[in-house]
Amino acid sequence: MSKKIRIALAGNPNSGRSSLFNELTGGKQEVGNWAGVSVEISKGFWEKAGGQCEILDLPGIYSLFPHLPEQIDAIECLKSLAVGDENEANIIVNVVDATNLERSLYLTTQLLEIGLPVIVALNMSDELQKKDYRVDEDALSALLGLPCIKIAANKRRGFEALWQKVCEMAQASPLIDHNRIFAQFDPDILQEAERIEQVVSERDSSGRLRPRWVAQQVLEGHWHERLEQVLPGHDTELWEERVSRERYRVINGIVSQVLTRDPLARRRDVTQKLDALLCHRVLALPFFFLIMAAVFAVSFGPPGRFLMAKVQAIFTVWLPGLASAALSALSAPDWLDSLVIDGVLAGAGGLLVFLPQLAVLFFFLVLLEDSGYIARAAFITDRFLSRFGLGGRSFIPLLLGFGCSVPAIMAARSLDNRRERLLTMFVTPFMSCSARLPVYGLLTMAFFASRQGLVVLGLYVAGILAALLTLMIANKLAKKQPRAPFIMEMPPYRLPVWHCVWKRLWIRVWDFIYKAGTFIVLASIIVWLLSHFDWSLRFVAAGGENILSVLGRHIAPLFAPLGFGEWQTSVALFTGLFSKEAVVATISVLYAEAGNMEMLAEVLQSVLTPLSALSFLVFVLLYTPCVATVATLYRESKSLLFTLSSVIYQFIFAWVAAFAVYRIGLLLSAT
Amino acid sequence: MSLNDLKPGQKAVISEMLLGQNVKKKLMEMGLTCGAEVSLKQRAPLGDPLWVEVRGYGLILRREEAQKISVVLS
Repeated sequence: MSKKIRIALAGNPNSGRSSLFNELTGGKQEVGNWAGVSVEISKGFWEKAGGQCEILDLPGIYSLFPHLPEQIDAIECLKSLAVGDENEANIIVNVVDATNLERSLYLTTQLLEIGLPVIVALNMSDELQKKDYRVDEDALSALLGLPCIKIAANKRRGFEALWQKVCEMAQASPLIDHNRIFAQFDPDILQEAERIEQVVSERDSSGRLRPRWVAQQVLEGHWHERLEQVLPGHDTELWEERVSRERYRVINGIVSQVLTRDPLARRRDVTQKLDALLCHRVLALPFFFLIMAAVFAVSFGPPGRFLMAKVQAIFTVWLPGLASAALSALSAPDWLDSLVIDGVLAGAGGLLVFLPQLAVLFFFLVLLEDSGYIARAAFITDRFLSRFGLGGRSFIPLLLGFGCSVPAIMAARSLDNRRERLLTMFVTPFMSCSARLPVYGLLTMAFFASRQGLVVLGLYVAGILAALLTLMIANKLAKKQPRAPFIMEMPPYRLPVWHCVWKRLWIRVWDFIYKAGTFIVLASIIVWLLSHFDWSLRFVAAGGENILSVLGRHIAPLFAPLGFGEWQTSVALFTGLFSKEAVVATISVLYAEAGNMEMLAEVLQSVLTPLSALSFLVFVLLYTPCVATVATLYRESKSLLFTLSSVIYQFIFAWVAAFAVYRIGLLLSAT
Repeated sequence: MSLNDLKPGQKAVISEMLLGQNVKKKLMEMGLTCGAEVSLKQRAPLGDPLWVEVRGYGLILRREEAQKISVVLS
């Protein structure tokens, strides 16, 4: 019987592990050109004519010494594979960024020592060639004593060779000299390793992990407390520094033998030219604001609105016409007609008209992530954010927050300081997520048609200011603590690979459509039912006393001081707790204007003033995020207190802010 | 002199790192070890953090840490 093959993809952050994983498994792992995209172990299967193997994509690590919580997961996973059992062939495929060979091999040499078979997948070697460099993979293979295979993950090159090597290694246990690199270290280190190894073998009778590897781990600072008494005079800091230096010394020797540069090449790097502009000491900030402004201008300005008008026609003219024709042909009862057109189509349609603007915004976010600019933005904004107790690394979750708070809060895992991480998670929901955009779109169209873009931009800025204010309050309250260091790799610019961009764009767009088609349709039906029946379950025509209006009137007084005491808006805010998209869907259903923006706008104008509409917008911007976000906050913080205080704080903050907007507005208009 | 004293484009070799154990370990794994050659590529617009080139790639670190890394011009 052939063994079950399991591959662990290990590599540095941003080495292309997840791209490889996606291409091999057809998976939908998030990828991007910055360190820290993958924060979870994902599992998939690589199917080939000759069979299949399980693939684990581990979070990116620079070494086997963990600095972040998700890195502990990666290393624990490698350890459990090293223990293994006889029916399984566990293989590490070490994805190495060929353009960053020296640093990447640091991890490779550590992986070699674990005792599992390792295959080096030299990724992005095509990119290296463009820089007129060449890696001699045969020489590298000989020097490391490991098979090295050139691949280009996002161009699907080299997979066949990789597959063959995997099968080959799974069949016959390969003879690998796991001490090959270590043996070249300074004799003092080898001696100390032997001393520790002896103690380890005596103490740890289970003998499942290689004693030599445990000794090497101890030398590199994985201090096992049990060893403390038996290893007197072992200076951890001294040894780990020496081992690090030796490792790099040996690697440096290897790299100098395998990496050659074409002596005739004199092309200047595109990355350098671009950075000379985009990271220029004076021009960087103007460029940064220009890029951010351009993204918003295109998404929410004329181009986005043009696309929106096209889609709107489908829901205002096309589908309702088709639906009523079909329903009257079937001579359906009036209530069914109302359910379909005022319920389902108004709800889901009211939302889907905003899809084009969202798609454009998502497109730019994907582009920023893939090109490598997002890492520059972290570099540029670090100084500013560190005044608020955060750092450049927080910029990435905060920016992603404009898309959706859930992945943004998860991205905060790449922050190694718990306080910074929690603070980032706490304020991320203030970054106006894309689900709130339909609310802005609807209300600004109804009340601020001439200055729509400006008001929406203002709301985004207000969200950022709310986050900064919150950070200032948090820093005042908390004790002064030393700043966590900011250490980050700067990736080169990369041209987006279009098939990856489209795939990721589609995942996000589909997620939105799926939500509109399932959750929002269901919510719309429930809202329609509750608003068309009274407590004795009798059908009531629009405008009559119904279940929702009774319920809504109970919560409405809470919002009356903010200028929107209507039961309909109160119900919409309540359904918004489940999903922010539901706010617009609920308003559309309750005011029963099937996707017809103009008529809905007129109705809204009769119940709200521009000022109360603005107050409503501010409230929607800031109030408690949706259940999915709250669940993510809890899962990531593992603290009920943190989650609850975040939920309550945001509600109170939103209430106070909307109250201030409304009252100050009233005072100003009175004078 | 420290890494923070370098001018853009200047190359130097690290001679000593007087940092806390965890930060030092992280920087060493990233390739900043004693004896490694570094060059300052540039500073961020507000003067902090620094962008250094080490072992053929770009690494970002703050002034605070850079001040505690001694270097010798090469």
